[in-house]
Amino acid sequence: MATNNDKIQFRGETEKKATQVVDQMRLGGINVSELARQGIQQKLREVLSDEEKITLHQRYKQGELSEEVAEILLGDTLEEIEREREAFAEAAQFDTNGVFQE
Amino acid sequence: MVDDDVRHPIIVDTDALIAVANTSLWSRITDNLQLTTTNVCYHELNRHVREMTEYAPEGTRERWVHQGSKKAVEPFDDEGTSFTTVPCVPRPHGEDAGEKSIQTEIEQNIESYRFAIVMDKHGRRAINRVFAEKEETTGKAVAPTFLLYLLLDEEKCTVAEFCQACGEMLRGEGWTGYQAIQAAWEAIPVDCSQHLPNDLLS
Repeated sequence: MATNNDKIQFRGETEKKATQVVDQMRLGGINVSELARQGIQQKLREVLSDEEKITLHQRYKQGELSEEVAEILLGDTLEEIEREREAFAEAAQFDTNGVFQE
Repeated sequence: MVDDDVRHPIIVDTDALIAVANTSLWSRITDNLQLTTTNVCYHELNRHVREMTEYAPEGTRERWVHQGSKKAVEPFDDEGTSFTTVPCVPRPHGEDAGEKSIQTEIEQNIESYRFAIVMDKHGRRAINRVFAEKEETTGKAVAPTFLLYLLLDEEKCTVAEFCQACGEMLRGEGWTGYQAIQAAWEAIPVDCSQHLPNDLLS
């Protein structure tokens, strides 16, 4: 449930005007909040360095970040690691005949 | 290049070779494992050695690629059959030619391979689709950390050495390496926290 506390506000005079132009141009307007949410998610991921992403994933693993927040910041990484873990675990069960030198 | 068409169960691409050749367990890999790559990957390694300068500053990608390629190419030049190169026809071109050549080689000789070691996750996914389509064969594309795991599993290295090598790979490969390492640690499972600094990149 959305509450007053989850509001994000920021200054942007020209951005506001630009938004209004598009909003008036389209029948039914545009959902500015939804656009802003998507924009922030995308930008947050883009600006993170490798080091920051690693730190964030470590914090997620230690329970300091919720899964929802981790997903916003790290994108499909959590899923990717899980997929890779499964592939790795499966491969580890394979016969290693011919893998090592005699 | 030993072009003897011997196909070992493990086939490795250019970037995966660079990633493991830069770790302190590389000599353990060359002493114990049998690996195959394609002539395309072999040429990519040689091109990196020629085109990237060894004088690039420590810690740069260029230095990492140069050093890793130089070390990686050596065992494939040795006479002997533990590290082999197979020709890839038709020869793919472009940025991801090495990876593509691994996929083509697997498509053409799928029964020869059980493990495809590929750095790029999209490449791994494409190869896993190839393996999945052939029901009668067993194969999987995994990240280069799998080679370190094989050494660990066969007791050719200690947990401390394994973790150390993961740390080295992490510093050179950044976020891509981190994801592969996390997956490996969770799959084995192994706890490297004793052996690595809290700040994994330091």
